[in-house]
Amino acid sequence: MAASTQLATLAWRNLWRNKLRTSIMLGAVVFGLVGVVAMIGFVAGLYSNMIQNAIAWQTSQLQIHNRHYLENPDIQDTLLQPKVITDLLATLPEVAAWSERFIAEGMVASARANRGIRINGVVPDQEVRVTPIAGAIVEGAWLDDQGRNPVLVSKKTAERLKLRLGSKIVLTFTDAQGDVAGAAFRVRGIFRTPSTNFDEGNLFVRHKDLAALAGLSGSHEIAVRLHEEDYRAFDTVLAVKTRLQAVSDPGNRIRDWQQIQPLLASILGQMGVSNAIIIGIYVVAMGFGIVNIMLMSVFERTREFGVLMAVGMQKHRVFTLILLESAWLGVCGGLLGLLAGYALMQLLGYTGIALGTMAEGLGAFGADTLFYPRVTASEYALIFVTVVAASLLAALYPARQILRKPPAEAMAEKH
Amino acid sequence: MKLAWRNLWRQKRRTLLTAAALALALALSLFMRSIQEGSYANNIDNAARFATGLVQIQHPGFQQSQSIDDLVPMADAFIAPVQTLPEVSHLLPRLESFALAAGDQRSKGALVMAGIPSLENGYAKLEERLVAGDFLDDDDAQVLLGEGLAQFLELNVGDEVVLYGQGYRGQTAAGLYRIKGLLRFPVPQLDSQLVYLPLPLAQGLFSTGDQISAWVMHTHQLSQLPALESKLHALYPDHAVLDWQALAPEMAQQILMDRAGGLFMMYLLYGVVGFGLFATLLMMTLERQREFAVMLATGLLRGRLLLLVMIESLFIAALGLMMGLAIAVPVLLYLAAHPIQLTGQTAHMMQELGWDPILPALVAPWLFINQIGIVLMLLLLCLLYPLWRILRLELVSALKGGAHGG
Amino acid sequence: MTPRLRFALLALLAPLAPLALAAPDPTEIVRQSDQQMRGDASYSELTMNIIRPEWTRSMSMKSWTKGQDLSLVLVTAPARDRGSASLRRDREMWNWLPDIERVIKIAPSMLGQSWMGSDFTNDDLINQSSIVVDYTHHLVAQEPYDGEMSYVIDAVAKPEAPVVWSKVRLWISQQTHLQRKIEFYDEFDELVNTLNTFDVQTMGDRALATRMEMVPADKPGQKTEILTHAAQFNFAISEAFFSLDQMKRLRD
Repeated sequence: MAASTQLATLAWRNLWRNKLRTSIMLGAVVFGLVGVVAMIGFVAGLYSNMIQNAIAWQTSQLQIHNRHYLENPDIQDTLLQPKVITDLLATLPEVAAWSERFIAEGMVASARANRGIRINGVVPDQEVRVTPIAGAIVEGAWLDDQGRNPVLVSKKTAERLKLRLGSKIVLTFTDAQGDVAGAAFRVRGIFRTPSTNFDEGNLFVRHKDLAALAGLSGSHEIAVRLHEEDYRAFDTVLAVKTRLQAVSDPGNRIRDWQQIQPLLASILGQMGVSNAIIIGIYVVAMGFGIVNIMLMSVFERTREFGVLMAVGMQKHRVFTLILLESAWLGVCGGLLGLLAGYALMQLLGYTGIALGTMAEGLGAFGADTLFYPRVTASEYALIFVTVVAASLLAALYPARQILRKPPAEAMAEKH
Repeated sequence: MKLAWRNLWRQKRRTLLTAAALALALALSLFMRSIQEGSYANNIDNAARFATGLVQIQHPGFQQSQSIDDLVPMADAFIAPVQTLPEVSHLLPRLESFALAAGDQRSKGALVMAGIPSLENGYAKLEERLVAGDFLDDDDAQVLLGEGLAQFLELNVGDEVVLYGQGYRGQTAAGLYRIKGLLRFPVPQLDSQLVYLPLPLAQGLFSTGDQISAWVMHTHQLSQLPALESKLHALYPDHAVLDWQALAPEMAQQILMDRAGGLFMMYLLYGVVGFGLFATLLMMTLERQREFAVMLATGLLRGRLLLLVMIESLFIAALGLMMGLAIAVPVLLYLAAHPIQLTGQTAHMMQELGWDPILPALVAPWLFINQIGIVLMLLLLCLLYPLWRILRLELVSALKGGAHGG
Repeated sequence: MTPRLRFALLALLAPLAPLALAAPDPTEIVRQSDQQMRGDASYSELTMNIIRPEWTRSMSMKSWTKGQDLSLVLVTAPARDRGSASLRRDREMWNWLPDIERVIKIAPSMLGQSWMGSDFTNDDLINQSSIVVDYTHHLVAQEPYDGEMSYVIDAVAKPEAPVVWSKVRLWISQQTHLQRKIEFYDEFDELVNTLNTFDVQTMGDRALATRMEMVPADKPGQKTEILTHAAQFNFAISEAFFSLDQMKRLRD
């Protein structure tokens, strides 16, 4: 025990005997590590941003509909006994907010143009706590109780129909009796969300205005947002879903975001594969880099080790010494590299990574133009283990080579 | 020169190690870029087949109006010049418009697409999307429906669907067609909206005569696209020649963004391998300080010493590049011929999208030249500091301090 | 994309006899003019010319109306469209397609589409907005139009009215009380569409403009023209005539 401690101390001292060489090697390791950490953070940040966005804007974590409505969106098929559901939602600690929506497929018309659109009737106070819509208003204001028939249209719709704040539009849809109902609304605000598709097909009015026009009460959709927003915490979503299913009328269907957007769930899978490949290449690049410098460093010191053996150091102790030196280097480099990588991630997590010029493509992608990299603890751990393993591996071959040589020959080795 | 050559072989191991570092840098960057570019080309190819084709000839007003009035001739006389172009691998006539699709109880706005089923099948692989019924024959008087649309209309294979809309120049377009099969698309906009007709049937429905919305073209290689485009512009000055980037700008942006991410990854990789290379070179220089000092002491001019080191480095570089290529080329050639097969959920998703679940590698001369150039630049950059150190080498201390005169 | 012009069509589908009256109150002028067009039953034979920069297309049709909520239009030419019919009851609309023997109900999402390929939309025919109720009226001038002295009246949409126009300018003949010309403005006070009428003749027992054209302001070379060849008014027609069964049974 004491002997091995002694050897470890010796290895540590050896390492710092040649400060320049060690610094170069540490530098290489640190740089490689920061690169890998940045890479993982970049990729994971981009995709998780996309998924979180899709959840925040489009699906929420849970949605509840009448089963008939899901099969075929008929304005008559409102939720069955919504009171039971909202009562339970109010008591669940996991639930941050929910929004009851009255939805009609119809037409929006101005003097200039008209187009088919989904009319979302929302309770203003509820909706802002479920989706980030209130923060996406580029002109005007979010809906409130003031005024008669206010409406929020997207920037895209406003451009198509030549609308500005205060403009009048006419909304037309089929009411409860199957007749065509229509009314004038005034543009209260103009929004732009990260999703171009959503913007093209949606506008917002007040729940009560739309329901009154349709001659109905109730809602077609309840969207639920949980306090836990990390998309990986899917168990929480399932737990809340189970609680809701227990009380809800069987005629309603409760879906989680993976059911609402199966493509999103698949993207998670694809992200895993492509990430693994990229990170694999990085780890190999970094690992081989470390192996290479290690090899060089150990071989250059063949004579030194020859001397050690000549003065009577046992072969296995020399072998262990070489491995220990290498391991020290790996541990130090790994720690420093992770520290630097972590610091960089914290910094980027604070400032964000901007991809401004690609805004349009990102919009279709459902991602913000500014996103934040993320690296998990287990990823840090994996990187650290890889570095130390690579450095040990790198020492094995030269160590064996040196030991095979008679000390005299090793001593005689020239540079 | 000779001295440099001899120096190299005096220290085989060191030479090999340095060359290996270079080889590694080259092989990895080649590998990554080749896979990256390969998957971009694959994505574009897939997406184009799935939607717009790589390039289209349209009526100049069609892209803006999407109107059934803005058509191009389908006649041989019109398209004959394209048929002789060597770049074109697929050439398909398509007609696109909107109509109301109605079942017995319900109706819904539908996207009507028409083409020649046998040609489309060889290109867009439509038949693979069939989930019920049979695929169309070229002269069928039947149609295919998106599964979602059929569900909404409460129709099934064998039922009849009404298409009703506006035909060419204000004529009424109305038709009643038997459903031969159902298609499933992962994209809801298509699944819940698409009606697919054989071209002659659609031309009858919309009274377009011998006209179509677009000639859709595909090239053998993605790299042939610019050449094809310029030829088409010259051949059809009065028509719109639009490539996939103009036809589907959002998809183009997505691919661009993916590319930006890819570039970011690439630079990071260069950083990682470059620093490894730098460390190796610097170390090598430091270890040889005494050797250099001896040479200078025996009367070698500093300038000639620098030259010597540079020539040595050049040899090492050449060796490293050869080694790198020797590793990378066979692997890449193999991967180009036998693309990586994806498995599991990813593969499933890509298949749903109608894409082959593969990651092909792109093997192109420009890619190799680029990477070799970049690696050489890296080497040059990495050499700067070691050379500077040699220039500033202090003879006495270097001689005294030996190899470890750090 | 031509928005609602229903009262313009009313002018066509339900003309009435001239009423010699000249009241200075603009609302009263508009009300009377409007009243004149809301007759009981009418029958007319029409030709619709759709005019585009590169082509024109002509359709012949017969039209029956009763009150303001019932109308039935039968296409008689060209041969390809012969027998097609369009039925409107209140705010619902169906089309009959004889080739495939099907009735299509027009869904709200289709309201914005062109009616029979013309510059009118389905919504123009269905919309219930009223030039009397949904607007306030101001007399801005009296000037001749097509040789007849006319009141020029600006009708400004009431804030909550379900109409897309912010202003409509009408030329109402002092002699016949017919709406001879109508201009439709958006909220930027830009002209969007103009309806002109010409060739006032007596048909049945009343005067009506036998040629009318709808001209979109921002599409040069494009318009829709409707010519009336024959008309009858004030005859007995039962509400049952405006039914899906009747629409299918109509042949010329």
